[in-house]
Amino acid sequence: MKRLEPVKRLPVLVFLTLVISLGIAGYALFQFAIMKHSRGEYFYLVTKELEFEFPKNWSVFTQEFSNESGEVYYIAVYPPATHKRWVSILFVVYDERFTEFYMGRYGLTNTSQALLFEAERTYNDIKRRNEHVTMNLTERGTLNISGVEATYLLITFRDGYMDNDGDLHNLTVMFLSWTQGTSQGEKTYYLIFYGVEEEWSQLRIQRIFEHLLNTLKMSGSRDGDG
Amino acid sequence: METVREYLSEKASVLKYVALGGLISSLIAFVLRIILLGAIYMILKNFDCLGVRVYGEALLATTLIMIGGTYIPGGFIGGLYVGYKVKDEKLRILLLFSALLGCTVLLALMFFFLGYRVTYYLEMERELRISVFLPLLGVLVGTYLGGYSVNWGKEEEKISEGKLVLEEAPISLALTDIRGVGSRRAKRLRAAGIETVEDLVKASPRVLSAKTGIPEKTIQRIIEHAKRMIEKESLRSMS
Repeated sequence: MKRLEPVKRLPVLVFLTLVISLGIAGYALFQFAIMKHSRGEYFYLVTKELEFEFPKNWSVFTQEFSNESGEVYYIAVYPPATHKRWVSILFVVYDERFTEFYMGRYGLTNTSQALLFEAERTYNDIKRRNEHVTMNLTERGTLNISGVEATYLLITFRDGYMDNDGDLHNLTVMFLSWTQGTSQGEKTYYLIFYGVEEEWSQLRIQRIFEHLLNTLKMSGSRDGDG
Repeated sequence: METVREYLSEKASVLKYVALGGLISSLIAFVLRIILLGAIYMILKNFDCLGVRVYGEALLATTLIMIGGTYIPGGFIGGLYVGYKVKDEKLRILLLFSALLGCTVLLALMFFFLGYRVTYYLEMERELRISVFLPLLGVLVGTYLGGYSVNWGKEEEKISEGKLVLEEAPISLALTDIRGVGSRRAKRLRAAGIETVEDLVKASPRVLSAKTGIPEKTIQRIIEHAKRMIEKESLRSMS
């Protein structure tokens, strides 16, 4: 069998070099990202609107919508999917223009009213899928988030969540809202912590939520930043 | 009429190989993309680092792995096929068409068949305006590397033929004297019943191509060289 001369193997060598080097570069970049953003068992994320720490094995998805009414910024934080054990944290930020539009359109004057409005909207959404759902207000109060007073509501939707097998679960939702004044008006922040009751009430999940709240900062407000 | 038909059938077969090469590239890249994205997800999940995907560095890392692990290998295998099947002087252009077709089919497959879950990275790639450019670049590079892996060193073959001719001289001096006929081609020609230059000149390029597997165009060129050689030989003997 005739042996290939080295020159004939050149494209194969270039191919192998490219594949291996790109793979190594990708791996190294992943390692770099993990090292750069790690803070113990958490990753630290700085987005356009908010900064916070989240568990390393949770996923984060950000999305921004804008139209003539203003801008809305979403951040979803959720653990790897598990059967029947759904839990998720959602941040929603309305910019100054959208806050004005939103408050005006629905006749709202403060965050407490806005929270009730959002809770009712969620209830109506669930009711469209399950008409037997009931809404129970468990708790209401205020919390300090990054030096700003936030209003919260803790609500349980009985039979509010249907899993893939068609089984109904109670859904617990904590709605938090606060506003922050800027030179152009006021921004509205929502933090919604959803979860199937069995999962939501787990101590480890509550600890994660607490940690996220403790490390949460509005981007731009650097007080107490480590 | 016969020549036109032969010409058209030759072109059609070349186009068929180019199209098949493109399809092979796209299908392999498509399957590799699904496997690799799944593998990246599983590895990150097992190492409790799924959250890293939100960072720009992770997006770049995924993009690099996608280029090296899907687009280039897909293009390479498609290019190998085209390079093996087509021994045309216009291989450079044919490979370009094969890569373009491969990339188009790949993008169509990713957009229409994978849905949101797997095109998640593509959504982010779109933000960076690299959703078309990077697959195209990867498939293009892979296709050329694959195509030339089979055809690399064709020029060197001509140089080395001198040496090979000497090795074959005692049994096939006449055939290997023709420009473009090395020891391997001489063997293939002899297997097809062509023992001398005269036999070659009399043969039909089409029939000979079918018997030897050497492209018809190449055989026509070899016959032209053989005719010129006979002319020179007869002039020398007359003088």
